[in-house]
Amino acid sequence: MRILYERTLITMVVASGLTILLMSVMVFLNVILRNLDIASFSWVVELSEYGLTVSTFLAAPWVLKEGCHVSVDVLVKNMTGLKKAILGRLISLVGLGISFILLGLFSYILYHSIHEESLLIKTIVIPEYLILVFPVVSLFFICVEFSIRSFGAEA
Amino acid sequence: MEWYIAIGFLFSTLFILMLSGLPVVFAFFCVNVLGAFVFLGGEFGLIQMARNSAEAINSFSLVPVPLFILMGELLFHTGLAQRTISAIERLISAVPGRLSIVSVLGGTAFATLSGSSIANTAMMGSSLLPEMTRKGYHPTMAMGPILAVGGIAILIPPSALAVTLASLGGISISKLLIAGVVPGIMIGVVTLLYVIVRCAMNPSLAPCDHDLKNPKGSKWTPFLKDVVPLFIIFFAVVGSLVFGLASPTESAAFGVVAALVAAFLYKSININKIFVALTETAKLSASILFILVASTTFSQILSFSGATTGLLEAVSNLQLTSIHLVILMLLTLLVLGCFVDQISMIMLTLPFFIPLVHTTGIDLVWFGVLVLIAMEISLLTPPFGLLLLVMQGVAPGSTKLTQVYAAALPFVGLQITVLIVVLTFPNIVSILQVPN
Amino acid sequence: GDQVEISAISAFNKGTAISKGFDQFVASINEDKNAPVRIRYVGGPEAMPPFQIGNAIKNGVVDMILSTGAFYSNVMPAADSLKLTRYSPQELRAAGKWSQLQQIWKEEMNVHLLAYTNYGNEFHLYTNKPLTSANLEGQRLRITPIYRAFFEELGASVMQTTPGEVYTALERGVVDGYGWTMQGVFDLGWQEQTKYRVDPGFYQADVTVMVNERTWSSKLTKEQRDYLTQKALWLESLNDNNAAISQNERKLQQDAGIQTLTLEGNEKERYLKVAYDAAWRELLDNDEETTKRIKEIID
Ligand code: NA
Ligand code: NA
Repeated sequence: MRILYERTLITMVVASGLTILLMSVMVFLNVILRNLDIASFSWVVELSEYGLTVSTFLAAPWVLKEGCHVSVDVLVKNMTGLKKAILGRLISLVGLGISFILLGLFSYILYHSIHEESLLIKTIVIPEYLILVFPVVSLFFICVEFSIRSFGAEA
Repeated sequence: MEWYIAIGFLFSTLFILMLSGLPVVFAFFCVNVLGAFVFLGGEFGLIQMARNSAEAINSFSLVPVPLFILMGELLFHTGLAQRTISAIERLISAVPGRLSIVSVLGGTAFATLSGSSIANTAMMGSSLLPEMTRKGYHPTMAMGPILAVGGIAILIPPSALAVTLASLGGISISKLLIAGVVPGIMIGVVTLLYVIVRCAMNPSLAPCDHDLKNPKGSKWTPFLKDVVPLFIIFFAVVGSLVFGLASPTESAAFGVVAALVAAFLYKSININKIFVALTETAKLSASILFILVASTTFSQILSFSGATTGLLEAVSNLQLTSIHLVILMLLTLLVLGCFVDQISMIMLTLPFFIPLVHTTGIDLVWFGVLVLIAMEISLLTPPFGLLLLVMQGVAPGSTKLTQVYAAALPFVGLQITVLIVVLTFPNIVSILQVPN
Repeated sequence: GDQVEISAISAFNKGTAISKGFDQFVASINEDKNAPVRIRYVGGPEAMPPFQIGNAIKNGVVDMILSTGAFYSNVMPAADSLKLTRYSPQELRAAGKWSQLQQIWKEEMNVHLLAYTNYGNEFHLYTNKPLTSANLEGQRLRITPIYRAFFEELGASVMQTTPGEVYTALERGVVDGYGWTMQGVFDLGWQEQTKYRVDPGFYQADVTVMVNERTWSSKLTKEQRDYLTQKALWLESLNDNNAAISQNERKLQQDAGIQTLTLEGNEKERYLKVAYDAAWRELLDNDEETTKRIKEIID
């Protein structure tokens, strides 16, 4: 179970990195093709914009798992033993609470977006849920990670 | 609700959560939920807040952030960056504080390629620090210079943070990028002078070593071979801009492709290295952009609550002269910078500052450079200095955070001096500008 | 009677050309001490991302908004069609067409369509590469989704950038030109990098003031609603100045060195026909039913 969980998060972070690589190559090729007067794709900009959101939400759970989210741990740093463990779990619990609320909100939005068949209409027209699904998946795994930190065996 | 109650409520909650050690991004999310419920109005306010969050980083002007990070990570993980350093290292021998000087020069050189001060510090720290520790360098001379020049990456283009600042503040991106060059070099130079003077006065800070005696011929060959081609990457980015091939945002993609091509030509790339570079890029870019998701939404709620306009009116009523106003804003940034990261810093303050700057007719580009320097300084100010934390991460196991703080302190003093110089002589930022 | 406070948000920065009429509207209501309504201006894009403004007004997070249809197409895909109107706001009202539109907006957006500002402020093609016919081949143009289909159909190579980058893109020759309204070229300093404006203009800036339906029917009394409607008519009457303002803008552009390229006869007709046909086709693709209803009213 644990291995499956970690593999899922790693797959997500690799997908996030590949998205960024793809954005680079796409933007680069578009510039080259435009300057050679071969073609110009106005959707490159919009796809890269969506790519930012997608790659960020895909990688966020792994960043949390690795402890790489920026935090001010000056107070915690000087604590030891039991005190530190308790505070750590308390903080994870706050994190869990907030992520759970956000998960609920995003799920609600996703549900309505699918139900109302909302579209994102710019140069390209895509269903809104294609984007909204990423925050939902991301927050789900963030909730899992905070749960492990709050209630798991080792701190 | 009065604006000062709103602002007090939002900020005190935010600071308590941050200081408790909750990752900054979740502290912001917490305040966003509270703020949305109170100011945007209940259930629909919460839903709107979530929608705004999903939309927050959907902006083409942020695309260079992950792209420049990817470029830096590619250079780092393919070893190209380290080759540059060792090439520079060979040029300098038998000088007091040789390795400290190498880290200043190498860090400045890497700053011209990288838009990320985190990548810069991590790279210099992990490649030079072990050797300096082995040779008995004092922590101030070992970690200090690396920390000091780490931040130059945000002043010298390419710079993802400068792009972020310019787009958020409605400042001309190209002008701000060019304006940062001279102050960036100034910081490099004063750091270099400080290192040389201190080591000459007190040789025990950086014990002299004689194990590197190369014949003259072999000095310049690696320099040409390893440094010059890397500058071609720099020109790929800047050149695509100058020759009108690409927009400023698009030029970041040239950096990524050039780094890939360079790594390929130097036969230092394989699928494994690309894989590691991509993973690290995703992590670093997500940790920055995720904070932007939360802090952008926070600043919208702050505007919505009326706190932004309230504070603005209050400060305008103080009838400050523009120079006093600038000083007040910079002090705010420096104090705030002790506690929050660079992006949150500008997200929190720009909604207040930019309208003030407009109404008092302060030069936007000059102001932008001052903000960039203040951001750079706060990378090094305790308790929350991003580079201090990065440095502790890459330093040998026994290094305490307080030791890192102490190492950075003299260099914070130097950078504040540079800030005051740029404040006193605004023309510094326009030296390289093309006249209209 | 009692005074009620309603909140308002704009999709445009205060003080820009597009926002001017609305700024006056808000000021004139708030300066009137006896007004039954006060407007708490919350802010512009810094307080609400423009592409979320549709959700905000639909759900009553804010009582009143100023926006163009392109920003809330995620809530109402057909809204952008208002830019294609053949009638002025006054003509729409006189012919009873305005109330038909109000009905559609109420069903689709849960709003009361209050006022139509900026009518008479047309879009134009601005370019640094001269042209003599309705043919944009070889032109590299910065676009927004509002006129992308039109420029592409005439053979232009199009790209998107943020407004902040347009100046640099023009300066470096990354793009040859862009589409923008007659008024507003000076907002971001683009006149410095622009050689030609192509006449005729096409489309109308479709900027409307909307009030959330629940606010309109429940929060406001009849007296307050009538007051706002009177003010809306006054706001729409400001549109009459647009001819003069645009004429003045023409002069300012000329003084700034922007020359006028005029398409005439067949070329002018073809240019405008492609403009409107391309836009209608795109809108019908996105939401056929509502677009058809709107087309019958305004085309
Ligand atoms: Na840089
Ligand atoms: Na700091």
